[in-house]
Amino acid sequence: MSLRFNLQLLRSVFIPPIILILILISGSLLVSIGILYYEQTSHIKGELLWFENQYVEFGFPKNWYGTPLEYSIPSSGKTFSAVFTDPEKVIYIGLSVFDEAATDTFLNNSNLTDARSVVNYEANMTYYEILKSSSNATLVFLENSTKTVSGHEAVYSIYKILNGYTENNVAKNISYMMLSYFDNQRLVQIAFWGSEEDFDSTFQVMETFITNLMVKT
Amino acid sequence: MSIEPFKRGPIERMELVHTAIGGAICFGITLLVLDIVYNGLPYLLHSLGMAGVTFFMDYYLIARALFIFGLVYLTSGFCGGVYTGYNVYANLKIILFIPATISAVGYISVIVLIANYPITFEFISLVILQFIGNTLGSFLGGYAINWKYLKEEPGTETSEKFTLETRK
Repeated sequence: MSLRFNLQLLRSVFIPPIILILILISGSLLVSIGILYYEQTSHIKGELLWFENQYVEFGFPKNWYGTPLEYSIPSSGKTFSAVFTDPEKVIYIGLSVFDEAATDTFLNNSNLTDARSVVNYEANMTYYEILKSSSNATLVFLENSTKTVSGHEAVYSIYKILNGYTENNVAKNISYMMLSYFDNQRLVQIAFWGSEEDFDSTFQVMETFITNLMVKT
Repeated sequence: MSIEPFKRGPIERMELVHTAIGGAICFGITLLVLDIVYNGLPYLLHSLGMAGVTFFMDYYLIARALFIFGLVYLTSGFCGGVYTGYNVYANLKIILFIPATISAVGYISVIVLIANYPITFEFISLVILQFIGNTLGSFLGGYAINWKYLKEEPGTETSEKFTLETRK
């Protein structure tokens, strides 16, 4: 009796339109995940996903979210930017590569002359932006130095913005590393920022990112 | 006079109401599930250790569209089709387009009129994808709920569900 009932139930469930919709749904999900899996396997090298385009080549952690941005203004040149974040932490890596025209426009519009002035300008701009939402924020420079990136001498600053944001009514500090250099008259900017704790624990990821970065000529 | 399943016949007012409700179900499920799936996919990728593929935008957008097509558009269309197919007797071959149309038009209205989203090529292709998914789902839902009647031999007496007495 029970067996007959179950067979009838099965017969009424496994009818062609339901089988077809299940095939369509599972098929599109499998193809979707398959595309992403193929994309991952074709770009992975160790624990890093490798990205390459006409401007730049670099590796980033395979389980970080990333967003590329490429914009072009006819009179101001082209800029390629990318932002990465670890979804489990409050930490970000940003990269911007300007072409010659975009570099000239950026330097002229902001009255900047060299990589050090670019780093200071970005630090101050960030601070003023944060002041809009946290009026008692304070900028503290911790380290100003140089570092070799892709065979070029890059200038960097590590600084903190104290009371940069509030989380659960508790004022938190934001740590920054801003790095800048010129590669054949093209400006390259790398920013690394996040909560104080996550900044220190993820610094090695930033070092790996810088080591693997290659700007194309 | 009787009306055979999926054959043409007079449409009653209540059938149009049920078709509109089917469209509303389709649209409602689309709106409800779309947001969950749209925001849930990155979490799923992260739990699979594949969050980085979001950076490869061309492939990621195609994969996300396919994922939404299967999980949202087909499913919502199927639910709308099941409701419509259960309540409407005649003209189902034409009427099952209506839930998908209502859903697509409703979605365009919400996005363009309420969210003020610009009409771009990407938006148009998403709406076309939604319409195809909803239509396919709607027809499969409508056929699934009426499958046992469709299997009946032609010439035999049609089931009670499909026998409508014309009102004189």
